[in-house]
Amino acid sequence: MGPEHVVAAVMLAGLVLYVLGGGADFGGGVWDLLASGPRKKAQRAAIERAIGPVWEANHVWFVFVFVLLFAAFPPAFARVTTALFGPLTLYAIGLVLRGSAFTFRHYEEAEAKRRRFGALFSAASIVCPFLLGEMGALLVRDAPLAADMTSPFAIAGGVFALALVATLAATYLTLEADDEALREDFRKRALASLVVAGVASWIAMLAGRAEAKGLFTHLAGGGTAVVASFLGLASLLLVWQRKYVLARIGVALLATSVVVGWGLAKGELLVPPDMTLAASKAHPATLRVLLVSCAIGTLVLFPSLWLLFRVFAPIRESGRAPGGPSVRATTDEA
Amino acid sequence: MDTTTIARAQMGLSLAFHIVFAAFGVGLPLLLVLADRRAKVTGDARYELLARRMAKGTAILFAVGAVSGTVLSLELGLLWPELMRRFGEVVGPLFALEGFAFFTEAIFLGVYLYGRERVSPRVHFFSGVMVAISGALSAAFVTVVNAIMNEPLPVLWDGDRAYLEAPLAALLAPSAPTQILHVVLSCYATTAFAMCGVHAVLWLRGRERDFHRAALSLALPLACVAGLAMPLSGDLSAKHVSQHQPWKVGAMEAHYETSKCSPLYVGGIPDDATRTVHYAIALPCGLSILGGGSPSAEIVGLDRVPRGEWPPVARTHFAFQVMVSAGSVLALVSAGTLVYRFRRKRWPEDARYMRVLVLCAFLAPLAMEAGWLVTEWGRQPFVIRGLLTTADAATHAEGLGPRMFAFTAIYLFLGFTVVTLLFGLFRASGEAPSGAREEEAAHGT
Ligand code: HDD
Ligand code: HEM
Ligand code: HEM
Repeated sequence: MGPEHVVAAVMLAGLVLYVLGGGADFGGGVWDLLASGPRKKAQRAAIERAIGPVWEANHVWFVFVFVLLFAAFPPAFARVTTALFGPLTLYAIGLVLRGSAFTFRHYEEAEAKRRRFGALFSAASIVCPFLLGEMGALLVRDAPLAADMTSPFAIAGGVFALALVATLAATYLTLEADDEALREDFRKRALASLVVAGVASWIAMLAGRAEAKGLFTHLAGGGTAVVASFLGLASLLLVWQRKYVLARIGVALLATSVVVGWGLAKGELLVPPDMTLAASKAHPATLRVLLVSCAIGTLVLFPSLWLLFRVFAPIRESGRAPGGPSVRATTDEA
Repeated sequence: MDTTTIARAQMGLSLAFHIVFAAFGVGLPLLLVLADRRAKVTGDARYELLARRMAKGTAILFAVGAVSGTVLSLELGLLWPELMRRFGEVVGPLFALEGFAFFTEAIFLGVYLYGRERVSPRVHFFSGVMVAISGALSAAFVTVVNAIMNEPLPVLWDGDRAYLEAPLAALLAPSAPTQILHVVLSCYATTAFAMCGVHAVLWLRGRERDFHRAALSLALPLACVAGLAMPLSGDLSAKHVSQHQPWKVGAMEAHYETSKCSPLYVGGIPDDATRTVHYAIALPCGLSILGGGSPSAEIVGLDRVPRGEWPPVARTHFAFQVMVSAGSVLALVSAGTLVYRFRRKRWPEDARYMRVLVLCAFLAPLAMEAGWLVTEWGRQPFVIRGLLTTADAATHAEGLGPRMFAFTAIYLFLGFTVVTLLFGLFRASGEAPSGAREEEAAHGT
């Protein structure tokens, strides 16, 4: 194992944290759009409270992974940005509109404009994870990397990612809700999105048999399918049983297993069909500097993240998933 | 338009947009911390109210800064794939360091903005300080990247991929010290003058004069110090550029012929064909004195730069004139203000002065934008001076035109919305009687 493997592992860890934190923020946007019933307003307010203080920090994980990719694997980076030019541009637009519309809505007084910013915020929150899922799928196909956005496997990957972040958000939000009825709203949403995620994952696997053979003959791919299915069922059961703290851990582990499994299945192959970690890695000195910076940066980063998530922790102390940026929300805002 | 031209236009537009918000991202946390500190030391409630009100605007500006910055990092790859493939390794570690600075910035910003009622005053103040430090650090790291592009360090080659034997040596890029100083100061100058301008307008409206007086007494010292420091630091930059980047000094000063006792042209229209400057005021030996420290110092001109490697002279010269003119006005205002302050023991306060401050609020960002144009245009036609041309670095992707259009529309929308929201906040702040503090406190941010 060389330093390039360690950097790749750090990137994968960053991606896991992006999905657990930033992914859930996207999921919040999904539920903002789908807010309904008598507690529509309360649902939106809970989502806004939960996302407000943390989205910018969660978002930096994306920048972090992206920067490591170009610092540690420059040719792979150039290949990815060239091949995925279209979806990445859309992703950039989505990120811009999501973050700014969310903030604008918070400070806008006029109800009509608030609604328009809200629509923009949730539309972008749906497009982004969908694109992320599509790009994730495209990166594990057998075919050379291309922006083949209509391939069944890519679409299934996008839908799966969307359902996954919606699951994360709904499950986290059960712990944010300050009254029982609101909690039930989010519980129902968590159950529904878990089922959708499960179905989408099976469709993705079927599509993958044709497009990503490598993925499913790979032990990690098969193993992930088994582990993730188990975790999905367990989470479903826990949400059903209203064991919210455990459920939160369950869905966080589920998302983690999916991302880690994806990474393990990619293995040495960074960009299909043939660009491996070894073929695109930076020089050892550069990799070492990156790793040392990450190690030192972590010493500042994790205590700071701990502070942030502790300050904005929900009332229940125990409601924190291990290592997951999962704690959110304030309670006292009007 | 060919693809490279559109890519340049899109990059330039995105950067020119981002830099405004980035400058506020560096400057506002410092002003917030100063306001909190003064509130604590003097016990004067106006400063706490000020900090609370500023926090709202800060949240909006930061959000747009963060998303526009993310677009930039994507654009580096999307528009300049060859730059990243060949030099990703050289600039990558700097961006990684910047990434950590972003993290601490975003994290402590969350605590600062949303946590006033949730953490102890000490943790709150500490968070503000952390945001201010990490903002300045992130500006410094990204400026080093720019310094490398302007004047690369000696690199090693692996095929066509550049790398450094000691990657952190990138921090020692020759033009980094002068650029970092000038850039960070420009962020403070821009933010502080903008804040002065806002409160000057509100003062002129005649509402809450007492409050705006307090706000001005907080922003003016920073504005004046930064305003005076800009020409001094700009002089260091000019000296460095004169000695090490003849192509840039050639373009920004329209300096065609290498000579001892080089003249300094004020204004004028450079003419590349005849290598002369029309309608300029020429100060004899001015450039040699400013750039080389003595009237007989030799300043290398464009004649020593191959014709194909000249930056666009007219534009760069024009941008430089704009920066220096704006900077001179700012420095004069700063000096006048400080003299007044030390003579009369109070800050100036009359309608004419307030109008001058409003003007300065526009001049400072103008100078900053113009300065960046000097640097970016003055490096052309290279993206990494001497090593990689902009055209070679650019993407060959199809359909850049519509995307450029989309990004322009989005930036217009964002800029317009931010301005409207900020105006809404300012208007509301004028209407809220000073006693409404409790109500604002209950609102959080
Ligand atoms: C408030 C903004 C502001 C003000 C008042 C000034 N500048 Fe400036 N200048 C900038 C903001 C700026 C900048 C932040 O936009 C630049 C672009 C890149 C850089 O390093 O700083 C810059 C670049 C820049 C450069 C090119 C540096 C390089 O490319 O390495 C020079 C030579 C000067 N400046 C000189 C001056 C002088 C002589 C000034 C005297 C009045 C001055 N600047 C005022
Ligand atoms: C420190 C950060 C910066 C970096 C790393 C950076 C990087 C780049 C890169 C890679 C390009 C494309 C290649 C090229 O044209 O040389 C570019 C072009 C450009 N940048 Fe910057 N830039 C920075 C700051 C800025 C700022 C703040 C502005 C604001 C006005 C700006 C304005 C431009 C313009 C106008 C161009 C197009 C130049 C041309 O091709 O004529 N840059 N920059
Ligand atoms: C090519 C050039 C640049 C790139 C790729 C870039 C990238 C970024 C990114 C990714 C962010 C978002 C971080 C977050 O999510 O919080 C950001 C924000 C920021 N950038 Fe830039 N940037 C560039 C130029 C500049 C310049 C020229 C400056 C200052 C001189 C600057 C200063 C900042 C600051 C202070 C922030 C954080 C404050 C805020 O969010 O408003 N950047 N930038």
